[in-house]
Amino acid sequence: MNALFKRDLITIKNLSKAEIDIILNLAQQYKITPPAPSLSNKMIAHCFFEASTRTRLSFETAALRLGAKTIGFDSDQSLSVQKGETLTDTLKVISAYADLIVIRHAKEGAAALAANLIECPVINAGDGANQHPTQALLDFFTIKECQNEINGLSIALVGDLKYGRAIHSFTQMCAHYDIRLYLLSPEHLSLPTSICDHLKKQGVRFSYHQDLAEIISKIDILYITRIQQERFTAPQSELFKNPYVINMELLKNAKANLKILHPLPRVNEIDPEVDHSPFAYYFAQAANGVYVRQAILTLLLNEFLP
Amino acid sequence: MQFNGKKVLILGSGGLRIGQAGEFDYSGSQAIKALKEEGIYSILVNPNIATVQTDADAAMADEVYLQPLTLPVVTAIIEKEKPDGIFLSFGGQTALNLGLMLYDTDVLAKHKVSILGTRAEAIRQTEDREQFKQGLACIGVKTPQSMSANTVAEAALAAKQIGYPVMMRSGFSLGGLGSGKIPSESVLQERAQECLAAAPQILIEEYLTGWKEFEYEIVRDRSGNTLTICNMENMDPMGIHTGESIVVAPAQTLTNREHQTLRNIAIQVANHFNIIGECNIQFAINPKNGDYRVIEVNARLSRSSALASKATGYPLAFVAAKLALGWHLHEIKNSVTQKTCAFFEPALDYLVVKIPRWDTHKLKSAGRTIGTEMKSVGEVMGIGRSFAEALQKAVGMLNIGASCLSDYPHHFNDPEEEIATPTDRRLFALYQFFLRGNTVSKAETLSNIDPWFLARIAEIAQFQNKLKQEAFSTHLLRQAKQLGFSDKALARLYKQDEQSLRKTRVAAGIYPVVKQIDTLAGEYAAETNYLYLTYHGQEHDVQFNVEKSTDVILVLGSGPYAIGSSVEFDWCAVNTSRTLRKLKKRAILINSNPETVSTDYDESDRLYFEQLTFERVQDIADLEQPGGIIISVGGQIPNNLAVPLANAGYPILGTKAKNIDCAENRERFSALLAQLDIAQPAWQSAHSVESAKEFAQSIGYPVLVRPSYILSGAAMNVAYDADALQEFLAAAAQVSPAHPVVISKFILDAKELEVDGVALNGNIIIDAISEHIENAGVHSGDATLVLPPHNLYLETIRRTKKITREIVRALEITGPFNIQFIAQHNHIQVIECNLRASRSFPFVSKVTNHNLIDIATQAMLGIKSNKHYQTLELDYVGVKAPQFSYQRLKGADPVPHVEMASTGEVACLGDNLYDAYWRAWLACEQGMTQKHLLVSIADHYKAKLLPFLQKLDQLGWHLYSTDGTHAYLSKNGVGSYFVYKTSEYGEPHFHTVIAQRKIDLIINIPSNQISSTQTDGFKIRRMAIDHHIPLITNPQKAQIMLQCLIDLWDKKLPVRSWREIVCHESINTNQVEQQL
Repeated sequence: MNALFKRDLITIKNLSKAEIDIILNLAQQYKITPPAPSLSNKMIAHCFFEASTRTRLSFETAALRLGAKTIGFDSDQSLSVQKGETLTDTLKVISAYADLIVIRHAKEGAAALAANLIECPVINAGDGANQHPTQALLDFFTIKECQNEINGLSIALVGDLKYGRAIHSFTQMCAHYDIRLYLLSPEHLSLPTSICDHLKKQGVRFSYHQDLAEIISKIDILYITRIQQERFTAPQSELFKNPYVINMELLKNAKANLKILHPLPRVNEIDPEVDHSPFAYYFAQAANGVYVRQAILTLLLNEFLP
Repeated sequence: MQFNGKKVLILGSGGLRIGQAGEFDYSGSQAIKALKEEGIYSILVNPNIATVQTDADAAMADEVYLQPLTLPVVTAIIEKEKPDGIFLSFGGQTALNLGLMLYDTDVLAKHKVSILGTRAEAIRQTEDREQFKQGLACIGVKTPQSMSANTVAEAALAAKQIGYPVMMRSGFSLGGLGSGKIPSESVLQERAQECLAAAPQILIEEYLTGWKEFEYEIVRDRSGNTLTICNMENMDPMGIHTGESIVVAPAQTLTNREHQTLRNIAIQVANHFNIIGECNIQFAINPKNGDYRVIEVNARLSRSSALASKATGYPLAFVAAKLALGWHLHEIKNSVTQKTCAFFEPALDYLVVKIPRWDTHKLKSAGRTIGTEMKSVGEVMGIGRSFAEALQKAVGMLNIGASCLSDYPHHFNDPEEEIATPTDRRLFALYQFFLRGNTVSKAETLSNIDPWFLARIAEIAQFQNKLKQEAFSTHLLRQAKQLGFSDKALARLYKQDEQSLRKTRVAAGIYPVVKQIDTLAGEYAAETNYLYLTYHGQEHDVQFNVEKSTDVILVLGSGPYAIGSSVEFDWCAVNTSRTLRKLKKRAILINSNPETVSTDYDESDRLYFEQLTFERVQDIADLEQPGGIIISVGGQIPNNLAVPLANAGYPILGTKAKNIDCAENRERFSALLAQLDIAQPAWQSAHSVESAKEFAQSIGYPVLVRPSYILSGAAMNVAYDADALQEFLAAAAQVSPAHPVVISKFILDAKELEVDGVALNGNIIIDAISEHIENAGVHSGDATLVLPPHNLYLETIRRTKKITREIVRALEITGPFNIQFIAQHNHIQVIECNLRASRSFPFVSKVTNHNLIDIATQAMLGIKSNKHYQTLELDYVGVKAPQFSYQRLKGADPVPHVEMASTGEVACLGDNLYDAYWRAWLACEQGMTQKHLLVSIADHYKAKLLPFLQKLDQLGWHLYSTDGTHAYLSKNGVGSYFVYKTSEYGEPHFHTVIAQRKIDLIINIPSNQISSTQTDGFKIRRMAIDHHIPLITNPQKAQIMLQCLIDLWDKKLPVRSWREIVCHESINTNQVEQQL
């Protein structure tokens, strides 16, 4: 019996360390040997109320490779929502068609609301500035892949730490490991206090820094995010222009094993010249999304593993 | 087999602490003397710089390593020195445990070093309770029913089987640390957890409280010849640690048959373990039916063997060393009696009483009750011809304000309570109990003490009541003296002053006679120079000079070890005696402390094992007619006799008594400083609470509160506001009602330094400046000293030297002195001046390689020296670090402050401050195995420590921190694991990480020195101590410590001997071997 069967995945907090290991190990297995199509009789709905390219396509690819059928939309422009339908009504209707709903929404808490409302499993593919658990799982899958071991690593989180939902889920993952975090963000975009408090109590060591050059030689993973422009008005976003840019000059002092991760899309945080360096790992990271999501879909929809 | 090696390594015992004190300076020194006599090259490892055994003196070891007694360091020394043999039994439990580690790790086998004396397997059988019990069961010897446990659950099961109450003991420990009565399962859970944090194994045993307790000291040679040298009886029965008991030798309440039974068992046990050398066996005897248990065997020299040695005059440690080298008992000469060989059991025609000396009252919030854990810091031994005489003599030796039982300064409202729940004051409570007419049998019910002892104490009390009722008569006076009453107490009872009573007594022909320690039962004439005085006797055993001779010098020793007065003063007395003898003077020594080297038979021309009281020193001086009395090398006890002895017309050597008084008396000293235009902290002698508060207000808080005559900061305190002042004043007035209370400005954020030196007729011969690492406010005895100073302005040094010259000249100092200063920038203030040898004398002497005591002794004899002594520009650094015993003192706040709390010291030499500090820290039984550090730092000090913590974070250290520190660190780029404080709920909790031993060092810097047991800080500190986790509480020390962790933590320390560092001599091993 698989403990994750019929469960929702709204936040990393839903998962135990053992369950995380099951997901990451299965993803690893799928990366080596593509799985048999175990979801051929399943219908998966991808409800993207907010625009997305990578996440949606990655989920759809995962579903299709597992033999599932998919329905869905990638913007709320075309929906009845526009006609005044409530989110709850929309989801109720869709749940009647689908065995699992993948939801992305601009409002924090939307995925949790959906999970409470409907019977079938719900996967949060990003709810506003809140959480993005599958991203964090694929991030950690990638870290393990490029560094072999997660415990004992020094990781810098750089960029918009306040609104970056990938970051928030990432920090929840950290609680399960012995990790040393370096936090770098523009002044008004630092990690929310509640998250810091959580990290503290979960035994994660962290410290705040201003200058990336100062810590570049200490870290094993550099995780950088873009400024979430869509969360600000135009004049605000000018204010929060990203002060952190990674280029080869900065990387001169980096440890040999340093890998740079980015949930993508990037704006100007990483100089394209870095793409050809051994430090760049963000495209490999994006590619890993499919394996991790395959693992998640398999576990949520199969009572016994195929 | 006879040992035919050429080089022997001796392990010492390190810094003095509760449970392991000066007795091991005695045993180590005798072992070295035995090696010297054999022509064997001796190498000593001991970081205790204040000991006699670590002297460069020709009589001592050939090579001395002032290095930590740790496995890596001693291994390196073995690799370097390649000794043929090793002595493990002369440095207490420390040496024994370290020796077993060297054996287990095959270091000894690899370097072909043989353990001399009792073999390692046998030592382990005596140490491991399970093996011990089984071994003795095999030969039909009874031991307490007991079970060992490695976990709390196992302990609980064992206790259930034996039945509550049970006794818990911790294996491989010193002085019974962690042992105690466990009445219930819940107590067991807590205590077992605590004990298992310190030791791998604990014992749950049958509860024998109330049984009588005896000890036998055994010597045995390699052919199995065995002797019992001494048997001793604890007046306090089982339930009170031997180190906490009043002990009598020989045993008083055994019948001959019982004694022979125990003696035979003791010999059987020594044979079973194949002891070669010395061992000590403890028995418990059921007073109801005579049933016995063997409690413990120490296959090494111990505190009890030191006592037995001093009690009998039998040089146990010396003989044990010879036996370990393969000699037989009959082949060794008894150098004390000169008449006998060592194969002769001493027979005593006197008895001795040992009383422990406690200082628990000096440590705020530490409990005073005594029990199965040792708390006492020293001991005295009274020798007499009756129990009463010996007991009362011992009381007068304690230096606790009582000259005998009758004038103990504390009156008990409820002596019964004190007797039933014993504290350090039980003896006096018993006395007052009997004074009030209570019965022996009632006292027996309350205390379980054998009625024989109680009856003797009751007799003394009854006699005091009789004295009060009856008219004065010489007959009564003689009886009083035979019972051990002091002149001082009798004078008080007769409402006279002490000197006039003395006159009356002498006029009546009542005076003590001098007796030799005669252990030969009249079979031979004793020829020992080991002496005591008694009122039970007709004539002196020895001859005296009729006329005063300038060649006879009386040296007053240190008395009991106590906080503030320890082995350093024994070192001073021994060195004084050695210099006197080199100068062809006749050195006569007086001391009352059995844990000393100065009371060894061969360290003086005559030894009086006697009280250091005005009365007794006069008695001896009147007989010996010395040309001079040296009172300035034994610490404060003899120093306090300067004025009365001088007033009575006795010749004091060195600085004039009136000038000593000038330095001791605050008013007079202050006036002198004012006259010399030397700055001092503002102070006033206040006679009322109001005037004290008024003055404190005018100079500003914090203020220091203290009585005018001080010993080791007793009753000193710091008041940070008017309320605190009021509270302290009440306590201080109780301490010394005769003297007003002194209020002085408490200076913070200033450096403290001291000058130790020697002068002749007001001119300095030698002086050395040491710097305190801790800022002002920590008692100089608890401070970490650096010599030469590393962080002083040249101008500060220049001004300090100038002030020193002025004071020395004004007080016309001759002999040793010590002056303490506070320096803020270049503003120098004088805080204290002692016209005697200070506790830093051995440190300064051994770091500079100029023996200050030797120089001082010559100065006191008027011998001029034109030598120039260099003490500032040394190309190495000495660091002296305090050794604390907080583990034994449950409840005491382990923050050094104005009252001294350390029980000993160590010192190491290094290339620089950090090298020396790190070694000294390791030498205080501290150590770390993992890079895990917990920090909890008051706001004021956070910024100062930040750079070090940043560096450690980079170096991969795991830092843990409490809330405020955590926030500060993370803001400043340092990641740390957060832990909840003790007052908070939630995990990860401070308590948990400590209990799980995730922390290797705790740095807890409180905001000030106010001691409160209610704060989180206190709980953190106390837990650190109780779980044996090294703790740093001082911000300046923390800075140095953190730098040491950065630079030295996992480095292999190169080892150099004292001679190699100080004399720049490198040992050429080949050369040494050729010489041999």
